[in-house]
Amino acid sequence: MTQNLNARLDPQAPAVLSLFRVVVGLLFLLHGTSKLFGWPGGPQVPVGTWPFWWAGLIEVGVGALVTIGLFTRPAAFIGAGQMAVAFFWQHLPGGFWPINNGGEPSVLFCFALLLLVFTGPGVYAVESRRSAGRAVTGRATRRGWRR
Amino acid sequence: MVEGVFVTIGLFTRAAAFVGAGTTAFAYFWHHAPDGFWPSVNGGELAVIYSFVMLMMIFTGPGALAVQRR
Repeated sequence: MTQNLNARLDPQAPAVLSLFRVVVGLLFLLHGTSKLFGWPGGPQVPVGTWPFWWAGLIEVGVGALVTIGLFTRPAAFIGAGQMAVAFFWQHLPGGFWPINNGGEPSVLFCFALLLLVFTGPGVYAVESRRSAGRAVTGRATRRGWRR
Repeated sequence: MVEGVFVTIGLFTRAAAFVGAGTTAFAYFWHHAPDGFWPSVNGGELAVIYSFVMLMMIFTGPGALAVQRR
């Protein structure tokens, strides 16, 4: 029964991956817009403030690219790196455990983006349209989900 | 917590992820959505991320290294 269920779920993985990518991208984008523009919440960071304004700039860029699925892997790589830095620099001094030091979103964003570096954008992405057949990543096989 | 253990070791990953996705989706709409529309404002961002991470694992399965591969 489990095998049967796996066989039915696996073919949908590339589509769900795209949905996941859009949600992660939008949430990342919102972190950027709240730093750069103070929208939809949070204090606006004055232009050029190190490191937060620049962090917001990266978040807007990476968030937008990941959301639409353009240059997904390089964008996700930069975003994952930024989140790793954010965790070790900004959060780790506040305590070891992510739940206590406020760095849990950084960890989740870091690994969500790291995963996208290796999986690519999934079926629904701008870059799949730009070069049809090449950038469509994710393919279901009988043994599980493979690139 | 049970879901977290199962997902971590990679046993019954899809089923555990399904329950986890449901839990966090509930948490979001029940506890966070009333405080505002945007996840970064209503404090529900973690719930959204967890929900979609789990949703994806329902479909991808646990990956290469997992207890259920043995």
